[in-house]
Amino acid sequence: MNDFLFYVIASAVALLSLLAVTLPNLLHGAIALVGSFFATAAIYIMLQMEFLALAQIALYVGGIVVFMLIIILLTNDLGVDNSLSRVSAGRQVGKGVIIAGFITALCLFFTSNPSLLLRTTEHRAAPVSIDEIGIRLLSTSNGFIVPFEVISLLLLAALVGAVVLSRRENKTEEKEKP
Amino acid sequence: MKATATKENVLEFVSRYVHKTVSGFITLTKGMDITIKYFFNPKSAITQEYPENRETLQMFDRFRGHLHMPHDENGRNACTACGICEKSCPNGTISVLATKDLAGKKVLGKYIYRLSQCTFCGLCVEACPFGAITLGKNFELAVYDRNELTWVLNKPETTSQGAC
Amino acid sequence: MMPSSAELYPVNNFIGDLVRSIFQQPAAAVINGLLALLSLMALVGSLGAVLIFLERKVSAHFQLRFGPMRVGPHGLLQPLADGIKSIFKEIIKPAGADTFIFFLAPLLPVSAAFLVLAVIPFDHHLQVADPAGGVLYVLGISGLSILGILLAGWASNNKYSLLGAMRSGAQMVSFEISIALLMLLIVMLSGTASLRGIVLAQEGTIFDWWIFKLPFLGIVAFIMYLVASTAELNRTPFDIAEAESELTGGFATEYSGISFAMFFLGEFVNMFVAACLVTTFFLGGFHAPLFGLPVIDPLLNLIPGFLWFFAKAFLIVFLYMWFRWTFPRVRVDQLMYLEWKIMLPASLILLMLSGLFVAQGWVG
Repeated sequence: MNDFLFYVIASAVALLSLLAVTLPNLLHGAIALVGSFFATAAIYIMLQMEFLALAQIALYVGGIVVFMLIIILLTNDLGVDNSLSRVSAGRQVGKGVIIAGFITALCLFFTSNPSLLLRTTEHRAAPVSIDEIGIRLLSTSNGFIVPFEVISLLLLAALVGAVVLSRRENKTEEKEKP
Repeated sequence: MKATATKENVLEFVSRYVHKTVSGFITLTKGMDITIKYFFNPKSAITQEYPENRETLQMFDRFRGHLHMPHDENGRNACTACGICEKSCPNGTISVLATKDLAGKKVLGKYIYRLSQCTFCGLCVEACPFGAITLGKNFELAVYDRNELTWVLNKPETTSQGAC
Repeated sequence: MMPSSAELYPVNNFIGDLVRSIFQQPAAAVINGLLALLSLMALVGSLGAVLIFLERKVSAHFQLRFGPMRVGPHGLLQPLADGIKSIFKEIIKPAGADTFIFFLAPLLPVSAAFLVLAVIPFDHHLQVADPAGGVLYVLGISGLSILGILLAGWASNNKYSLLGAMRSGAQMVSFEISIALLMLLIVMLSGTASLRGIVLAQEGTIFDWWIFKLPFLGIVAFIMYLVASTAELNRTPFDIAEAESELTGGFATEYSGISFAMFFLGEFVNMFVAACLVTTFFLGGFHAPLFGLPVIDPLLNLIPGFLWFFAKAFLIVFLYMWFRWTFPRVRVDQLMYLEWKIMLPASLILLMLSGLFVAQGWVG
């Protein structure tokens, strides 16, 4: 039952991602992207990483896709008459074969030498709860407090930059549109 | 934003901000107070439910219904067939058909009023120098046959002929 | 290895136990899940009708008139008439509109409402699912509503629809920030992000509800959450997107028949969902308003929790309608000013103050 569900969801992710990059209409591609985000969240839930699934939905579907959609809608003539670029079939097949070969080689290499994989999967015994994530994120010992603060500074810089960039040239009116 | 001549310091800014917020909020509650009083008094509704209140319905004084020629108790009207109303009507709704009476004076024969063309503007009523026509209070005027929309407004004094 | 949904979210009320006593385990879990979903669908369906009728009657009484009085006694069958009319109306798709997106867009706000209703605790054991990060889930799903509106505006192939949709999208995204910060405030006070945990943290008398427990912050946070969620719902005074007299219907201009009814229904069910969230966060969820008095309290506790929940939620819905029919509409730049210059700093200050309270041990 779990395997069957995994195959269904994984093929959904693959199919939707493929549609997202190949559909000629840009908005249809964006919607396929939304679908693939939801399917990825489903995979996270299957892996018992509930917080990651919720964060995926909140950030990607709620944030990034809305952002992309606003960009698409604000730009003229985008996604109206898009057709795929004219690359010959031979080149595309060739690229696909090379990438597939590379990934297969990688998988074969790591399955034959499992000791080279990172050890992160060994110590996880119970599903991580949201409390533990919070404590781990902000604890000063063995925690991620420094990256947390650095990220908040980065976000502040991005916000201020957006405000400064979107100001009018002449300072007659001050409209703040982040 | 305000362009202040003197730069206000932080304390003034904060106090102005807080004062604006609080007073704005209080005005919101005043508005809400008015509407909640309307809500809890359904008797104070100012609309009427039309077909149910037909018996007691009285239109207001300035209501412009269809054209009406009032007759006194002897059946006489005040129209002298001068034709000013016919000329003042913007789309030819009125036709004043005059006749001559026994003494040779011009009197009203038939006063034809086409309801299908009337815009109820009231210019004819304003124009009439004798006050012979008014706009009445009736508004339920729909009929099934277009011929019923052409009326003769004056009633002859002795006989009771003519549609109205 | 992986706990099934029956173990994660068991339906513990008496219907769930009944089903589990009749059927074997895998089938019982499936049936319980199906019953939960069916009850949600029934709730949304009946809510749509009730709320639309309520909106018309309440708005009429606020405006010194009667509202629908003709269809059924005091207009009670009016939603039925509206529903039948919407179903029979022809669905016109404007030429040049993107068919797939045009018909997908009305589904998204309604789906978002359903998805959030699944995590709301209506009673102790009347909750479809209770994820540990319920608050985060709710925030993510409100992004889906925004998506629906943006797509509707674009797919209509109409400049005014697009304009309305962009305005609406910008407004909803902005006010989501305030909502998120205020939700974070409540999470910090309750100590848990699951909605059921937040309600259980308000157990006790009426003065344990988060609106009253904090001396001054609770009421301010409540009012700010009401304002922010009114803006999130695109309701007056913040309905510049669907401003009926200005943009002729905004993003929903080109929709007719059942598609428009979907948007309409989505807006009303979202209003109820927002009211449920306000009830959960600030008004104690399904707890009865106990006063600590010996005689009245047992009587109040006799009334089942979901009735208290619905009473509080409908009170908030009434409050939303009261706002709608009292206040004039704000301009879009005034709206943005409100969010970015007033509510965002205020939410941050409230968050800091409540963090201070929690750290000092005064609350929570």
